[in-house]
Amino acid sequence: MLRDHAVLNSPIPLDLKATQRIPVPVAWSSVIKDSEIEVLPLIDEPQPNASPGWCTYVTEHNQVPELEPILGGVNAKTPTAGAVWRQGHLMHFGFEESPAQLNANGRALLVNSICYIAQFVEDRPNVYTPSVFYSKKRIMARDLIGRLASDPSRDLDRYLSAYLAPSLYAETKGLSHADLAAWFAKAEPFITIDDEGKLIIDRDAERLGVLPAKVEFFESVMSILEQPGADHATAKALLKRYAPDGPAGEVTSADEPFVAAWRQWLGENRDYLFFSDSGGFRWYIDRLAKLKQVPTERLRMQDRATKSAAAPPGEPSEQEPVSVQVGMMPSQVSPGETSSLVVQVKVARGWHIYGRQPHRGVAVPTKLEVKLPAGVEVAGDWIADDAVVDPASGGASIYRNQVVFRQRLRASPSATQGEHTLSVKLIYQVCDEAICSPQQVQSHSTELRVR
Amino acid sequence: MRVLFFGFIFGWMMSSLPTSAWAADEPAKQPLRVLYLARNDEARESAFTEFLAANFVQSSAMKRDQFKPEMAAAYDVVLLDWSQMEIHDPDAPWDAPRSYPSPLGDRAQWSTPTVLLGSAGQILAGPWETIGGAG
Repeated sequence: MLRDHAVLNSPIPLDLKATQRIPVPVAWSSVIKDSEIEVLPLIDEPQPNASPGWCTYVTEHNQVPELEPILGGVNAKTPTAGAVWRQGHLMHFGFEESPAQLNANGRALLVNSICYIAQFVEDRPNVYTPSVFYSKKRIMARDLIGRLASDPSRDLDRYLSAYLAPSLYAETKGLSHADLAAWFAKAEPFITIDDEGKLIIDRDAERLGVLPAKVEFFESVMSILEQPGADHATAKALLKRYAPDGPAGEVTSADEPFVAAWRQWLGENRDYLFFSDSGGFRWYIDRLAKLKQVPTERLRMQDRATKSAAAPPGEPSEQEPVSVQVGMMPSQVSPGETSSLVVQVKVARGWHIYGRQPHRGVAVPTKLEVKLPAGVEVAGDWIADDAVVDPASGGASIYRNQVVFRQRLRASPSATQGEHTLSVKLIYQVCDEAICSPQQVQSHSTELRVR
Repeated sequence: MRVLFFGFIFGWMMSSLPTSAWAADEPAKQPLRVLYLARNDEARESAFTEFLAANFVQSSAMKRDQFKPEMAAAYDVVLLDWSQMEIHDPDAPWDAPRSYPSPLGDRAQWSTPTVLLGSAGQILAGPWETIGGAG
């Protein structure tokens, strides 16, 4: 059953009654026993020799908070692979067809997907997981072993030899599915990876009796560090291994400040920590959860959106206090004629940028850089309204609300006919009464047509 | 591990959801500024350009290799189009590691909401180590 999701109904509702029944794809027959499935076509006619799209095995990343599986698709792999899904501010639209090949539902899905991801302005991918095609390394979640053990149709040797380190493979080679399940039940809490990304048992964690993927891990290790005579070096190494974003400090550091630093770090981050097998068998801080001060376990799926609606184009917003529009007036000239490059800068209410003249202090003056194409030359200086002296800014000149910069340009007598692209870079600092941004750069381009 | 998609959404109908008259009842343009980063396929680029212009109040297109990450600041959403054939080296062994840069620059610096079209997510997962590299 299709889930009720924004990509299916907003802003353009898909026609969810337009389903068809098709034979179950051959690759899915071991999972789906029915002869047919019901699907919603996104194209009207399958194209012969169509290029393939891409589906992703998303289920092995189910610990990752910024991951949002949305839709699957007919594929040659598995019914659980994702076709449309999100990681942070990245929306994967795995269907290969261009808009010209999609039907009305397909085009609506693409529009909705664009509108949906536009709301995720603060979410980001947290985890790092290597691509097997790029680095020849793939990290499998430990669940792989459990899934293999529970499926008698699986060829265990094929998978275990590929994803387990040689030492662990030797330990499991020849086990029946039932024996592998029993082995996994005991070994599962201590499974991790080696430098090659192959699954191994963490003998240090096993020996110390700490469970690296449980949040209690931190307290367990720190209590070991507070026990005189315990294996402090290994305990510290485990903290560094499983929480590489933790506080600085070497394994050889004195125990007391080492533990104090980790307790403080844990106090600041406990609610935002999550463990990821596929992300390297380690703890991460959910960046968005910490930013919003919401526990990561309560921040999933659509709740991670931080922009409810798009700002009108060309208008500044609280998130982006400066908007820039660039154009040529007139946009068409003959060789030898002039035109004005117009840069309209709008500043959100309560914010300001600085004038073009340098001022003592740290204010960054607004600067325009233009890259002209061959055949277009400067015919005058920049012209703009005067900036206003602002006592609250230490006497610096500022622009509020809006400023328009103009520069006269000329198409040279030898300019070739056609479109000429001009690149404009606006460098500025934007401030309100309380804070200032670092130096910002916006790059834009516009066209001048020579007749 | 390329996968054949026929362009169907898998699923079963939820009858309580609204139906569409999209084709007959053209909606207003969406208030977003979108940038399409094209692969080397003129027909495909034209199709996307026309589609985005019809559906969004502001849209632009450029070839992927002409894009500089700082250009994204002017847009609400970037669409990255990238085909597996564009990184395919017919002379290399099929399982040879590949090395290519991200057209979007450094992952840590990229802040614009992005749609990864077709295989773009799988290819980007290489240099960025994002999810999507296996399927």
